[in-house]
Amino acid sequence: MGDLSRYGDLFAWAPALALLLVTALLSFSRIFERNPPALGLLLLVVLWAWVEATQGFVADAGLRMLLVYLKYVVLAWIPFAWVATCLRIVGNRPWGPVLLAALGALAVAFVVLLVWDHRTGWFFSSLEFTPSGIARRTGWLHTVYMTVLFGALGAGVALLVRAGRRFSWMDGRRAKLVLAAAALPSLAGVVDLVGWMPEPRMSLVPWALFASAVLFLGAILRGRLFAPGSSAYETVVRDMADPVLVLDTTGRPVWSNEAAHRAFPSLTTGAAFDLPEIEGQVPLLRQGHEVSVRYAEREYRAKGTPAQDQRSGFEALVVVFQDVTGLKAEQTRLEALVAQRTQELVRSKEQLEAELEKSRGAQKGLERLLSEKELLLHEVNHRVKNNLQIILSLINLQTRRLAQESAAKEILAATEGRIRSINLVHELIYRTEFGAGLDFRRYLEELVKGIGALYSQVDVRVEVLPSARPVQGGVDFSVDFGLVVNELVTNAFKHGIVPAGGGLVTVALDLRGSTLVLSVRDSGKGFVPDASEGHSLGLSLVRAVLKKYRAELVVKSEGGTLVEILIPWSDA
Amino acid sequence: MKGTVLVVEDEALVGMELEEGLAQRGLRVPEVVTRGDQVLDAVARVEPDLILMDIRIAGGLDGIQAAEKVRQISRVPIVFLTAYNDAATVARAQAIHPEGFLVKPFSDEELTALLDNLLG
Repeated sequence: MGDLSRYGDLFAWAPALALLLVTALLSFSRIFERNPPALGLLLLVVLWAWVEATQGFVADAGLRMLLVYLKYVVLAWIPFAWVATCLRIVGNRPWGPVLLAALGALAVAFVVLLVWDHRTGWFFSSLEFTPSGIARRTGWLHTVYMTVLFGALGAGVALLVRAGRRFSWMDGRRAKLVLAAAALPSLAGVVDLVGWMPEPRMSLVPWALFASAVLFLGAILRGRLFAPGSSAYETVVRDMADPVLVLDTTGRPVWSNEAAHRAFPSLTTGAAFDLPEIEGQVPLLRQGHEVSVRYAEREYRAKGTPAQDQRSGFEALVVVFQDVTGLKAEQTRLEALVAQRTQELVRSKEQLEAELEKSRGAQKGLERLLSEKELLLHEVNHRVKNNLQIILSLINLQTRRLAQESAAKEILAATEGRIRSINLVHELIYRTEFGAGLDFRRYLEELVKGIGALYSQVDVRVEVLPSARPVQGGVDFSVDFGLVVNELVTNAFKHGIVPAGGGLVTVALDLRGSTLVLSVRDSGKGFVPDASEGHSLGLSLVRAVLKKYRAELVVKSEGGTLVEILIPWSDA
Repeated sequence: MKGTVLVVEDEALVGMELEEGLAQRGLRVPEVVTRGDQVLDAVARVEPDLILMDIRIAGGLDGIQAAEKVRQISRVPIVFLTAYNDAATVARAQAIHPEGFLVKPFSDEELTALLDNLLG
């Protein structure tokens, strides 16, 4: 080992070097992501205690020196492990910012200490650069001072890296740059210590400090100028609203985002699972099932996705939780709403059906009434016709008991004709669709045809001229109208055709504006006024009907007799 | 005109007028039946050449049903007398293929034309 006193200063620098070395090492590895720093801290403390306890028993000076060196290394690691543990906690706990503030205060204290040292010349200012290294005071207080000093430096650097990663302006590469910048002055110090510099008074430390400052600045600028690195995505996951848990192959949670800690306050990353609500679902999650998790009166839908880190081979199950409490509540509300609406619809349907049933009942009632009415009408019509038949039979019986060519027989024949005209109205109305008026043209045709049949002994032709538009009327008017036609046509036969021994009777019905014109023309000798006719029943009937309907009678002699009846008419 | 006519009519006045009118035409009218259930016996008794059958008559059987029974024992021509001329009644009556219809109130001329056709 040679002259160990030469390495005394090296021991003094050792904590700082070790601290930077471990910081860099930890920055390049993911050791802290897989092993809790707290465990490392514990191991270091145990190692320290072991070294302290052992070094007194080692006789060999070289070996004892190695132990001392090891102790310093351990002592340098302890603050870093403490810082790393704190940072680990900072990322996961609500009171993390407080701890961060404490670390920041420590870094500020370091700067203040540097300034104070510069002014008092207690440590750095007392360094004396010689060709064999840097001569300076040594001692336990000095060592502690160095340890605290560089521990704080390490903590500050770690804090800076952590903050950079957290706020997405520094990814892994930039963090390494920052660490390199931090390590440069220390390396320069080592070069100075071992006396590698050709010029005794020459030191690399100021240059290293300058280069370090440049690197820091560059890292910061790059971090701001360039797009966020992979750590930005990690930040996104960490800050996302949905809880995310990363479980290792044993099912223990090794990483969780902040939402997971908020959602599951009793969750401790790295510790055994203490959330039975989730732990029980892990096998299902591994199989890719979506499971429902209830915790603290909230409901989550969780889905697990297997993942593997290609570099380290770390296998994990990433579980993302979606808080569906609100959704469930909304779903419950909607289901209740749907149930309520369904009930309302069912009620409406029942009401509609009841109303429909009522309506059907009413319709059936109406149909029954209509059917009864039709039956009644049928029966009345039958009665009327039957009674008319009885009256006609009575007239026939009476007629047969009278002498041939008697005046009474003629009267009865006229009566029979009038009764038949009335019967024809009933006959046609009966055959017409219920509620519709009587078609006069058809009525005229059948009436005139019936009268013509009575005079079959004479050569006669009967023509009914159609009207320009259909003429319809009610039963009362039709009966009156039929009586008038019967009288006029009978008269035409009696006085126009029969005496002439043959001829033509033309009956026409026409609507001229608001006047219905009925004309009966015969080809007889023409109208000859007869005093006896003025008091006949037939003419009286015609006059009565004309008066009732304010109609006019026009009689003309034009190669026979033309009788026109002008009736004021309205289709309504 | 000669022959025997069986009149089935429950309206006394109409039956009487028919009986008289037919007799005046030289036809024999042995009796006027007023009930449907008496028609078969009357046909067997009278052996008419023509039956003038009112459709609506008393006696359990209406004119159409009575005519159906008659058709089973005789080929005698049947003419229906009715005030009914609705489609349903006419269809029912048509089913037994009657020789004619007289729709009430019918005239002497209509009756004469029908008799000429069947017995002339």
